[in-house]
Amino acid sequence: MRVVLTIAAKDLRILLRDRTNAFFVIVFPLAIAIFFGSIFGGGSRSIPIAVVMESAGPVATDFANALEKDSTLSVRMLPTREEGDASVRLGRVAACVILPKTFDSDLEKAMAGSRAIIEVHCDPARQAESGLVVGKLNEHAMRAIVRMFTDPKINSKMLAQSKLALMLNPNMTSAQRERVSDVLESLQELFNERNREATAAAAETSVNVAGSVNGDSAINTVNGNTSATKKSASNTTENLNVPGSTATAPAAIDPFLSLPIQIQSSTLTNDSTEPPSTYAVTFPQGLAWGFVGCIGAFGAGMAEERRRGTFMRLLLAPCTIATVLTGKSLACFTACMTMSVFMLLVATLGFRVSVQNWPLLALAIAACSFAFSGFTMALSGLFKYEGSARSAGNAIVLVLVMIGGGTIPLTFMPPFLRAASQASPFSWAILSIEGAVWRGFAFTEMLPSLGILLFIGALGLLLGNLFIQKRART
Amino acid sequence: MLLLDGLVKNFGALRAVDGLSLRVNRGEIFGLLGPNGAGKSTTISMAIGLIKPDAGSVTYEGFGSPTQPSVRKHVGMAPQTLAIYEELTGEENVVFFARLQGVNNPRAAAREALERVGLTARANDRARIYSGGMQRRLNLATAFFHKPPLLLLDEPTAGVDPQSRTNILELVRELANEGAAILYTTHYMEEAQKICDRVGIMDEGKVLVTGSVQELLAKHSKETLVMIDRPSGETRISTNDPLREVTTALEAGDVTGLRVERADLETVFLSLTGKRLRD
Repeated sequence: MRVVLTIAAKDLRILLRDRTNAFFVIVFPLAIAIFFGSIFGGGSRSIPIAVVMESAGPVATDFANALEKDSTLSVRMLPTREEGDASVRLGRVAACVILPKTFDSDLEKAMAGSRAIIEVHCDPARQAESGLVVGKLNEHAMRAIVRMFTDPKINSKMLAQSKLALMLNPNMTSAQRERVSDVLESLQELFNERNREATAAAAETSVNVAGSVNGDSAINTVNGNTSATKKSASNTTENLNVPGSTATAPAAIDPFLSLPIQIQSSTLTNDSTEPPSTYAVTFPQGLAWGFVGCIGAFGAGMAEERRRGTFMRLLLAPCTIATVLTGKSLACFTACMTMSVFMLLVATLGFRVSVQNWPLLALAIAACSFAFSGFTMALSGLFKYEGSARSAGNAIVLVLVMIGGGTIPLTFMPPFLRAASQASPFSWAILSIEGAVWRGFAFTEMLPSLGILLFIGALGLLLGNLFIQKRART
Repeated sequence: MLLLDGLVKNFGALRAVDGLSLRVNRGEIFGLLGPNGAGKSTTISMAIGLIKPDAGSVTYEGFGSPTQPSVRKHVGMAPQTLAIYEELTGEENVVFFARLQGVNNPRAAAREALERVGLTARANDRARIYSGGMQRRLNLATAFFHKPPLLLLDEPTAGVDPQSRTNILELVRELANEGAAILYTTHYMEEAQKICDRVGIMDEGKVLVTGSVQELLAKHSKETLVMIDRPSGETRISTNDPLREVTTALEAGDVTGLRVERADLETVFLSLTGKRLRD
């Protein structure tokens, strides 16, 4: 037993004396626990979307207001659909929601078969978030429909417009028109009666409240405007499978068998090009993992030189430490470039991924390779021992990939982690490559990503140089 | 060629080198002897400009300070650790370092150096499959391929077989004869006595004495060392009359062993510090 205890004590002492072990035993699990706790735990999460209101009608306005009040969405109101699409392309929002110019007028003719379309342009690289956005839009569409049919002023106008549309509908026989018109007349009477009741009640109580409950939704009318309460309607959303909500052409819908608001979602298209293939989205992310491989291969380089004893010989060369470091980072840069070119050849030749802008892609890959070679040199200089450099380096890179959106959608992260993701070179690398491959970035749109990648590379080289200078002195 | 003047280096509270001064001339092999922790490696690191001394200066006479990268091309270094790339062949190793040094014809320089250390036949084998002695010779080749006027050899024969050791020592002597100034650290006293023109004995960061082996023996260890083993332990006696000391010990009885040693550098070190070199 004494021997067992002696060995255990020795091993524990060694464990505590190696800072890398301390990092993995204490700091890293703590960081991972907090990281995943933040992702899967409570707290506010919101999906960034752009909303473009081409219609200034009351229903469209109400709809946009409801989206803005929805805590699961972070709405950025934009004036034109071009700006909305640009926001999606630049990766600033997960989707762009467009309420077209005819939204309100189409709804007013709903009882005559007219359907209001809500367009959603989704980021192909953020499918999970886009799916959630479409779900939320369906929920709000249902609430808007409820509001329409329970607001006497709106539905009276709707009936009048629908009757007019019916009269002008060339696709219906006179008998069909008559039957539908009878139904509308009856509805008109019903709504008028309810309107009168509501007015009388308001006059009696001098309170401007009229209530009507439909399912899980509660509707309040205040000063003539309607607004839905923020009560959850998740059950409704789950059961609501609106026909044509996924990029189905409106002409194919039977107007009398579908809801009056249709969500028409599509992945972002750029000018005349078709939406990118799945591989166009996955290959940039694959490249990010290729960069991880390069970091792994070169990150322990300096520590390895120290272990071998060749570090001293390198320092003895008639050159500066910065020159040695530059040579090492050039090797890493070349490996990153070679890997990227190989991956892109496979993508374009083997998987028919079409690249929108080859010169910009070349720039993006060069900037990424520079950023990661600089980053690798900083890691390389940071750790004294080869084992530390490999294991702690891999852990750091893994965390940066995760917060960079390489594995977990940014939406699922709390605000502080989402902000931290801006510091991850991987998020900028993926954005810049996607920008050239399928996001259709212009050179000016590419500049921020390129600038940040170049800054990361330069900072990495500078820090690596400082770390290695320090190591050389001890 | 190499002038170290009043070097001081502290690591926290530990004074690793304490006012060390020495000179190594062209064509001379200067042996720096001392136990582990005496400050030899720190001295060498300062001598090649890798560590900045807290006080004092290092000068390559005629060239300047090794902190200047351009001056470092005049020095060759064989560290105690085998500083070679095992994944590369012997020739690739030397060629790589020759290119770093800016040698005009790196391949020719590599072949010449490998020939001098007896590795021509194995030049294209990876260093990983070399024997320990061959790796040690390759380590030496990567120090002198550019014919530097100053060579710093840190325990260049550590862990090698007798044949490789002989080859290395002969080569070091040749290099000195060609005009190189060589600072040579070793634990092996017989090596130092065999090839060093002068030696410096170092302990606790200080050079205690310098001079030729003969000078040191004459000055610090005129006496013979008698070692008497008893069940209670070993007794060492320095004496001019070893026969009398042996007789006395035997008469006293209780002796389990006796050795009489001629004075050597070990004896010098013992007489200067009161401890053995390899303690």
